[in-house]
Amino acid sequence: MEEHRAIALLRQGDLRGLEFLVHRYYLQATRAAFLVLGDRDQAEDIVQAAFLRAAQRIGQLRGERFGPWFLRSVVNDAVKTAKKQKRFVALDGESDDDAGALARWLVDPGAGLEELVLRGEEQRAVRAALQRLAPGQRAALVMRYYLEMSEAEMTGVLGLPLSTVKGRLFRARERLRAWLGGLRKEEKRDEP
Amino acid sequence: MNPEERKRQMLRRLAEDGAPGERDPWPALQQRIAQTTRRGAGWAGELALLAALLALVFLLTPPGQAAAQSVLRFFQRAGGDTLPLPDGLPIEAIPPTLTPAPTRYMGLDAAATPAATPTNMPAEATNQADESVWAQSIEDVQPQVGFPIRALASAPPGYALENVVYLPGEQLVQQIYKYRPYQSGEMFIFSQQPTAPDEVIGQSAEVAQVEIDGVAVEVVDGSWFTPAGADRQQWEAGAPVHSFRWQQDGFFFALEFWVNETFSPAYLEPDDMQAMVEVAMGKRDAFPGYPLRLDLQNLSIAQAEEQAGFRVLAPALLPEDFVFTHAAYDPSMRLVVLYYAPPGGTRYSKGTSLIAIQTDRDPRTVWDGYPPEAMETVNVGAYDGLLVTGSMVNERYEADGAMFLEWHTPERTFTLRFFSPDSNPLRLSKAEMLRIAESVQ
Repeated sequence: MEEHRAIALLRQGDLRGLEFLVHRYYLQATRAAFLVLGDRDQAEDIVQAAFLRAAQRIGQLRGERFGPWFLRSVVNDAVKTAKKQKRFVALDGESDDDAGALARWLVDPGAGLEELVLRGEEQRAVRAALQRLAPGQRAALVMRYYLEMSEAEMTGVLGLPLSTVKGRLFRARERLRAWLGGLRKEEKRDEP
Repeated sequence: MNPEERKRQMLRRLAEDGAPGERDPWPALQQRIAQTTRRGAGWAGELALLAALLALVFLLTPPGQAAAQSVLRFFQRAGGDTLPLPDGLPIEAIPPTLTPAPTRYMGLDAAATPAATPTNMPAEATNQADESVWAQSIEDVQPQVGFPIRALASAPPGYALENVVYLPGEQLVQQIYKYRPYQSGEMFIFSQQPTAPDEVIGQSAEVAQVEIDGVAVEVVDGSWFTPAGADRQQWEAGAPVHSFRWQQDGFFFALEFWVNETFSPAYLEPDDMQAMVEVAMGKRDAFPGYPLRLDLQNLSIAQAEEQAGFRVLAPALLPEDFVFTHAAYDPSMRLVVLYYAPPGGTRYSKGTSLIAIQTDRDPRTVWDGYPPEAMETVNVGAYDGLLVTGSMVNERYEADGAMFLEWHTPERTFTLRFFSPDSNPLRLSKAEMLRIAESVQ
């Protein structure tokens, strides 16, 4: 079955159309939501609800591909959920090492990655640091580097002007650089 | 491998590790659809998917049409999916738009939503327009209304009360909440009246009848819409308008959510809308995850102290002419908020005001988007503090009349927030803000 046929079926209320779209997009959507939320159960819950809503509103899909239309809904849902969960960031108990590891990797991927891999901690480090970013910044990174959207595509997803999208990406990187700056100072202090 | 590709690879690995995708997702989704159906009183948006075909088939039959109309309490079905336009309204030269026109709202304030087509305004609203009372707050309208107006204790983030409207002919009070950060057109209208409303919907409109906390609620998605140049308005089931109606405590209530699209930052989930209905019913104190409408509370410091369970500290020094107006308490975050304003000033945070916030928890505010020059580390007595000037508006920094000072002691986190709008030349210096903070006792 092709995607346009699945959508046509769904428009007629035929759930076989939904089944096709679920098999095509569920995993990608769940993983994108997971990267924003850091919680698989929540990510799956959001994606399932998004599929039900998409099925209900399939009539609103006009002249656009299902994938971007659906994924932007999922990313927005994930950001909203993340925002609700964390209006404040409690710094107590968080590991700056984790944040620093991601900072090191994102700013200069070649430099720290191998070390992290050797330590077997890269997933935990990246995941922890990702969660320290504001939800909007996290979503910007996920869209840019996981969903591989262009900045222009991201403007459509986020409903924001290009300058704001660039700003979000810039701020996300700047925050990471700031953490890295602190880390480097610590490293220099430790040097003999 | 280049750096960009490394980033992609790492996020892919993280995602694959966190969500491996080892199972077929379809059975879980089928189960969810089935559960939604079994709940009966479940959420309208999810139910509609499965109910749509059955409802449509049923409604196409004459007995179905009669039965559907007889069981509806708060809506009336039209004889078809089109209606004549109200008399006297222009239909030429209106650009095509899929934005539905809010009925009463557009009728009374057409200039407020220029993108909409104001031809589907009901005639009765037109007739009442001249008599309608528009105000900024419930307090301003209440003296003219013969019953107590129900206030919303909380609203979704970004939404704020824009206007309160009273139509004497229908004894109808409408509170209009708009999404402020983006001015993207999203709003919801909370209506209250002692008599049954005359709300006509398209013949094919899907009406979900649900029960929320023991109260029967009817839910309709869709709106009347008039294409450019058309001589009839037509029912658009896919319009992003969601209406909830119920009867409670001798009144008929409605919550109508307008232009609610998933891509908008103002988007409200079905669960969010249901939560707002629960807030409007008084069944829920606050919108989930967000504080109470603190400006609606009217506590004394002693009452706030009693609710919080800790001694409330207050500034001994205030900007000239400022007086204490009221206190509020948010149990979800254990926040006590003290409001100060000039006499006769607004009690809302958008007016000239000083707000002192304290909690016995240790949160750290995220000052996202503020430029470094807007943030300054200061000493508040023996403690480190952060002084922040300006506001984030529409995700952009604005050097307006806002100033924040946050500091932490071993027992308490304090935030002072001073605001003076452009219309008021009053500004506080950083030194004055620090003196106020140091006077907190």
